[in-house]
Amino acid sequence: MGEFLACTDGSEYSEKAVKACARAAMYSGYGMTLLHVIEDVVTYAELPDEPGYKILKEKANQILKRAKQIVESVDKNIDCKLRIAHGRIASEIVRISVEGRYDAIFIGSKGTRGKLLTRMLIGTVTDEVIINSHCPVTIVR
Amino acid sequence: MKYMVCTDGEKSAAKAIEVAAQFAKISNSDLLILHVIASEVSRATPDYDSYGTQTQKAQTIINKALEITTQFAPEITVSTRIAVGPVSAEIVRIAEEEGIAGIFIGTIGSSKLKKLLLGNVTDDVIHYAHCPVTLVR
Repeated sequence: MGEFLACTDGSEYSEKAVKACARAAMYSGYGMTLLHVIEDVVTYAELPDEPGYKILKEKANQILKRAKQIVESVDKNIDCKLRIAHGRIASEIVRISVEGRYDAIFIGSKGTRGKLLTRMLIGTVTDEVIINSHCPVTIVR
Repeated sequence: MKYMVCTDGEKSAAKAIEVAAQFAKISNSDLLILHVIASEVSRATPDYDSYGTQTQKAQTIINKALEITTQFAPEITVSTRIAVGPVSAEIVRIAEEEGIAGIFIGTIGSSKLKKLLLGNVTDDVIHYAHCPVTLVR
């Protein structure tokens, strides 16, 4: 059995990507992992009691909880894992997709950062994932 | 449910067809293979000779794609379609017309420089398609 990786930062497009991934998992019987990457917190990871890190971690948990609800709204029987990672967002997504031997990455066409630039078609993180990924990448808009 | 894969006969497209066929297989879906003959110019004065050669070429590309699907997923239902027009616009239009659940498309090359380029067609398809687009390298 295979497994899909859905990346979310809580933005509108990423939630659509989560939904698309859940549908694909439902139709194929594959498992899926919801991934949220906390950006650039090498120092935070070393200081787990730092208040700023606690806020980000709390936010990450909320984002994943909402994403999980979206998955359950599609199908309750999907084998869905949650994962929080730290580091550069695109690099972590690619690294985890290779390490976990995922069959495909599902990602929004842009996330919280690209949203502000309405003329930008594909977000910078998504772009980097497409360029460096080893597996098929599904872009959801 | 029906998926669609776009092919231009290139190597990257072959990989996309393979992935699309496997996706269709695991999710019990049909697959539509599409090739678009690029034409930005009006067909009002068609040059029949070159048009004939192009359709012939298109048929070869489609046949090659069919070989790949039978190799990787002989049990799926495959349909084919050849269209003429601006490539990305035709892909988006046909995906909508056929009620496609996901488009599969290859991204060009693996060289460092080419890696940076997604290709105009792929870029446009991602932006205008009504459904998720899967990029395969």
